Amino acid sequence: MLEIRGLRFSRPGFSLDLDLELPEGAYGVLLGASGCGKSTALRLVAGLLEPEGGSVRLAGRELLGLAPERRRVGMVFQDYALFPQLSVRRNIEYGPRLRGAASEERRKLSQELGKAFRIEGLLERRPASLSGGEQQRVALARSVAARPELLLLDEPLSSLDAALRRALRGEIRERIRDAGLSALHVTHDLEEALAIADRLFIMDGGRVVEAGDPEAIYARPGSAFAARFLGRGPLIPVTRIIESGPRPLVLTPFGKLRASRGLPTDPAASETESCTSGASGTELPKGSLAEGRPANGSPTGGQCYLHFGAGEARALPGSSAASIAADADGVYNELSGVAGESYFLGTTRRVSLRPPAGGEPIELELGPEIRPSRGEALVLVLPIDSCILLR
Amino acid sequence: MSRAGDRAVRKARASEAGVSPAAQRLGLPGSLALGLMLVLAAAPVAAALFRATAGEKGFLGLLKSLGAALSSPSTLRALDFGLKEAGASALLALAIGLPGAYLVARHEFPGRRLLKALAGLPFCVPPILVVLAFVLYFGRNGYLNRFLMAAFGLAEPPLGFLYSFWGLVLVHGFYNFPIVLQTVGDAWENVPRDREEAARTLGAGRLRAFATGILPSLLPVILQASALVFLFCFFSFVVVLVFGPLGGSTLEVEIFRAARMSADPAGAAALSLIETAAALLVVLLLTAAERRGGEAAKKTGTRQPRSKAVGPAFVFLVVYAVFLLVFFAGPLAALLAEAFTERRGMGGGGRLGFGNFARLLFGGPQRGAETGGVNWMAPQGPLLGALGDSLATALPAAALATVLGGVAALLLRGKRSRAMETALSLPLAVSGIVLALGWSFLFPRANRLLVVLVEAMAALPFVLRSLMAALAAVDRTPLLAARTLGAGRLRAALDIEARSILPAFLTASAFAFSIAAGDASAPLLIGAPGFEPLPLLVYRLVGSYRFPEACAAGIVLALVTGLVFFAKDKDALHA
Repeated sequence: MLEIRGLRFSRPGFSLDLDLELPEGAYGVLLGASGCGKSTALRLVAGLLEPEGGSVRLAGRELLGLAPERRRVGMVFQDYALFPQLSVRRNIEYGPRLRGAASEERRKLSQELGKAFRIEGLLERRPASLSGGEQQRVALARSVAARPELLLLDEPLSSLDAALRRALRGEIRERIRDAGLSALHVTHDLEEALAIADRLFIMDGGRVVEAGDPEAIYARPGSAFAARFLGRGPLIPVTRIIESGPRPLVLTPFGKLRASRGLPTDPAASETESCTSGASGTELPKGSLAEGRPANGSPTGGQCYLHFGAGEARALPGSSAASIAADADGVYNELSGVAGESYFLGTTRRVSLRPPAGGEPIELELGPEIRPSRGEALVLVLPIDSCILLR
Repeated sequence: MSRAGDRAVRKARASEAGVSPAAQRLGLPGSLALGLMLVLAAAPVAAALFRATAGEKGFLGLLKSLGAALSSPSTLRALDFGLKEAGASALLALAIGLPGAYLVARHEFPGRRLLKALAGLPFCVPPILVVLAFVLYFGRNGYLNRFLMAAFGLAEPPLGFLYSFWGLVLVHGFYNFPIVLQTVGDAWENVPRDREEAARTLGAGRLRAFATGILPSLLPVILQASALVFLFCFFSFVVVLVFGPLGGSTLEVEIFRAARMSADPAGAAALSLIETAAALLVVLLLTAAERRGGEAAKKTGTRQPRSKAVGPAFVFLVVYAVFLLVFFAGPLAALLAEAFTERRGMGGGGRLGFGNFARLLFGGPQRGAETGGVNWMAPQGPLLGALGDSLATALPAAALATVLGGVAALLLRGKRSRAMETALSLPLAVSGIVLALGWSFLFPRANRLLVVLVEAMAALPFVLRSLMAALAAVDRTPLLAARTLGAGRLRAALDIEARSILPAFLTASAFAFSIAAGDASAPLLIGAPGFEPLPLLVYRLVGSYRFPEACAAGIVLALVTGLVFFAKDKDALHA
């Protein structure tokens, strides 16, 4: 188990304050935008940067204060960092050599890893003569050969083209799992993160703002930031809470909409004004998401949004949407707006929908057969179960 | 890897670098430019070859001359001394430069830019000034000895090594360490840190990680800097002329003596060939190191920001700074202090003032005049004449070198081949004295034009290399954008490209001017009677122990040659 508690680091214009738990043998992925502190977090765990405080424990062993070579934490670098003067074999044998493995043992190990990572034909070559994918495999094999307890991977696929990236990401996870290692993988690629993570950590501004099972996070993001980062769908600003409770009714520029749940529970929320704790009819403060950016995943303060998946809304011909929404009370919301630009995306059509009274549009994905003309009034049905409130 | 694999990888890399194999070919204009550069470099050597036959025609005569020179004990002694002093000087320059390279590559601290800017020093401070500064500071009556005697109550000056082998090494080491600092520091900064960090995460300690992750990339650059320093010290002339006699002599000085004092041009020519052949080996080593060092100089991998020097690094920085202040800045400060000190008699006390400059400008006071001031009616001093001689040769020499180098650099732009790189390095094997001697064989009448030509040829390889590096760094995309916006080839070149490359040309010409104005070899060897540029004036004043005036003249010389420090694009100097 990797436990990171209050790991702090700062430099001008940036500060990191990290809490994270990764079960033994799990493949964790740190996902976030460039500059959010993902790579810094890895370097702190590896001992390549000196933190200002906190704790990093691996299998109960405190790592802080230990030199990088004593941590038993391997790292695969973005540019692989292979030693150009050494052959592939000697790159792989570097770690075992340092821990005093006999020549025969080293050779056997490099042969085995060469086979496992499908680089057995490259063992006598120099790194400069390898392709990006081959170098990536060598870097992984080299790290595994050093027998770390935890493997850190710093955007290991970012230098590769899209097809190779897709092919290798599964392979990486498989090899690491075969080696029985825990891994913490950094990426800014959502698809890559969702595809390989056992446990996903979304980072923003030097903090983990959401952590958990990737499918669960995707289905029910806990914050407006996560929802936006995951690209799930619209965030409609809430201007007023009409009814609170487990299925709150809120006023938005698109009319009255009901959500299937209130804001995620947060101890701090009770001390601050919140969508769920506010009395009926509470006017919510206007503010940007950035102003109310949560700390350590705590959604405290800031703009409240109603969120749903981009493909959840349905457009039906004529006025049937309105009648369905009205007839099936408690199941659907009625979402009215004015169509803007629309783009055909193959299986769906992306449509921009502006509030009837004007304001910021949202983007929805409708069936490709729906071809709204610009300025056309649209009435959509939106399952209440797919609507949640977020900050 | 198979040869085919090798070829494929090389091709792919050329393609990645945006250099098509076709673009690497020289073409006719490029071949002509390269040919001209080689002819200009080879002409003096060819003249020496011809002259070394000593009147006996053919190869046999040449062999006889070379055999005689090589069997002479004085030649062998000079060769031995030159190799040893250049080797020891390069090692000392490494010992002083490498810690500085580490500091500028890894740490941020006040004065870092100044430390890096010192790299221009060997090019824009003439050797004669360094000689003077070290005599004033480390000499028996120098500032350091006087301080040590006063501080420790000593009766005799404790430091007396200046006029010896080690004195020569000290001067050369301190004069050239900034080359090591700059070259290695730049490369070190660009070596990706992640290789070192990868080694740490694989179980290596600090030293082992450095040896695996950093050192292999730095070694070619260290070799390159060492070879360059070795070459400069092997060719050192004025420093050896002043400090050498008690410790030994180099081939460069022996050539000068044979040509100028023994009136033995054939012997001088034979010595020139031996020196050039020895230097050629070093240049080939240098070229090979440059080729390998190029990889380290590329900015690849993750570059970590430089950290503030704290803790042990801060202590190291302070020690290094004190060391440089005492041993490096001290001599230069002594030069400055002496220039503005008016002395009353040899070794007498003095007061601050401009008297030394005034004496150089207006002539010295009459003997016995105890007025304490300057006799303004005295005959005109030598300074203005020397300044005029310096400008009259250095300006046209710089212009000639810039034009020739500029045309060649433009024609060779975008071309890249191993043969071309080697060919462009070959002129570095021809020393200033050999250049002057060779051209004087071709044009036997000593005159200022010949000095101009020789100084231009001496500056040309440096100008060409600095311009080629600067041109290679210029982004051509704006030029292409201008073409797509409707500008013709000429208009785009004038509007866009000229502005990008103008600073490089100005820098190169300032660089050429510094080299020409600081040169003492050509004026000493082939200067016409009455021709006394600033370096010769300083040399004459040092020779007659008129140190305060020599320092004043030296300050004027430093102001003239220091012009290059005002150049915008100084990085090109280190190409």
